[in-house]
Amino acid sequence: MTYDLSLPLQERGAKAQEGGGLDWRWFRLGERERIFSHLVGQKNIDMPQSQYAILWEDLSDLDDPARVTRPSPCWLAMAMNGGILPPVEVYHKLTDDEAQPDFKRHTRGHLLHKTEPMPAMTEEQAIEYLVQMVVPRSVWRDYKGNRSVLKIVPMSMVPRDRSFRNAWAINQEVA
Amino acid sequence: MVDYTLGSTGAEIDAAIAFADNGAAKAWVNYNQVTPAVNASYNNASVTDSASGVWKVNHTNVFADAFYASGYAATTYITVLWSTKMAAASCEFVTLNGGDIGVDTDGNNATFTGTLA
Repeated sequence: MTYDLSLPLQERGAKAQEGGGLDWRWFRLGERERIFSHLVGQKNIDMPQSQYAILWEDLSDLDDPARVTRPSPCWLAMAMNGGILPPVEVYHKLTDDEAQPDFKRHTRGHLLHKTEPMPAMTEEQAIEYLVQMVVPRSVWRDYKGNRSVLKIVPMSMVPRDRSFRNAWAINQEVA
Repeated sequence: MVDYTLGSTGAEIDAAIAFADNGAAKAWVNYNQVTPAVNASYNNASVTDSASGVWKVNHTNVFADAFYASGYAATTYITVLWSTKMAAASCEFVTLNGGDIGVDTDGNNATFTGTLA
């Protein structure tokens, strides 16, 4: 099956429903989110916050405080729905492209739209995907040191008092 | 665990598909850095709280290049804002308290327009 994304949206919409459900592959990634969020709104389904946070330290600047990354509820819902998000390796390829010294603009954006989408993920799998998507590979893949520079934690472990936010570091004692 | 089985019918899907044609902003986010949490968004995978008043938006559908436009408004504080470190995949903001001190804001609203990859 080929998915001709150059067809008008309404035409692709009709084809996407031919199988009885909704085949997201007939839509570009941005279109998928608009359709998904609209359908979720129609059904009055709540998109809750993730119960997790990603704590990590930027190894390129050790003086910086620990970072706290949290997913968008809509992104998380799409990840858990399945069939929408591309494999995380697509983002790695685009990141590599952008890191090239002669980079001007993306020429492989089609990977976002035409790569076979990920199946439904659990929330935990989605957070692991997000780690690989937004945290530098030098942190989650390549770091071999003894310090804990990356943790997925329940939100209850993130301090509520931000008075000393710029001094936050990952607690090594509970690593 | 939330059940995202939509079970939508043809008419509902048709309406949603028509809606997909209408979006103007290529990405937007309403972000509370105090909690921190993304309240609502479009084309936003996550936001990273990097330090007081420093937060980075990570796009789901990356932009074609780093030359896109961002707009910003805060709902609670009057702040000076810098939009820095723009990349195709992300954009980092710095919210200041009118001087050079980073300040956390509970109502950060950012929009992005440009060409998507």
